[in-house]
Amino acid sequence: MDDFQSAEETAFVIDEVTTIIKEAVEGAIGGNTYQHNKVNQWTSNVVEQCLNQLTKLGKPFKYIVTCVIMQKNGAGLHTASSCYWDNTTDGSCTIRWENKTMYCIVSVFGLAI
Amino acid sequence: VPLQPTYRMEPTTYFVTSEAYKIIKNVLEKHLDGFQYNSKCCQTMTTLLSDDIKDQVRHLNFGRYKVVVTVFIGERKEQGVMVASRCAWDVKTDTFATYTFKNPSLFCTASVYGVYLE
Repeated sequence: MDDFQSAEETAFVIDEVTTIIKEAVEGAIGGNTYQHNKVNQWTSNVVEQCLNQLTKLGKPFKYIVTCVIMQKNGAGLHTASSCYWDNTTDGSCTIRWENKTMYCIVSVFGLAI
Repeated sequence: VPLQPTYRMEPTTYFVTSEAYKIIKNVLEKHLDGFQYNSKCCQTMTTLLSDDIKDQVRHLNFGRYKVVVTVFIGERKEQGVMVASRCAWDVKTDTFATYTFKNPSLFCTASVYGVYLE
């Protein structure tokens, strides 16, 4: 079935995914101040919004979405990821977002079925 | 080498979460025990940890499973942090393992996701 779809429809398009992530983050936490009791809900909202929009793209991919929200107080944060997959079909996208009180890092991994 | 479809109804070997968990725990404890947070070193440390975990999980030989490893290292300075993830996949075949290591100067969260290729 995959043979009949054009390359565009089955590729991981980073620009599309970037837009989706940015909209999800802005929608969920844009303009908010860090609040410890709200973070749980915010991360869930960001991740669920991303996943919903990604699955609406209708591409034959499985997705893994990770979100980190960290309060700004001078502490450092490092992230890395390693993947064993098929370079021709799979891809990932990481977006860093910040406002005055917090950082938000969202990673999306798309694995072709 | 791209894999061809197998037309099997289920994987011959399933991804064993407990094995992946043991690997993450061992790798983090081995490298980070007594390690001080240091901006320059932690950058290389995160990539080293994720590559090490990925290689060890690959050696477990779960055939036709793609592996994604993510590692977060943060300095402990009384700030609030939340790490969350969600996945859209097949719950019968795909799974993940995660572990958080803490010492007085840093915390480290590592996750391994195993995704089956039909």
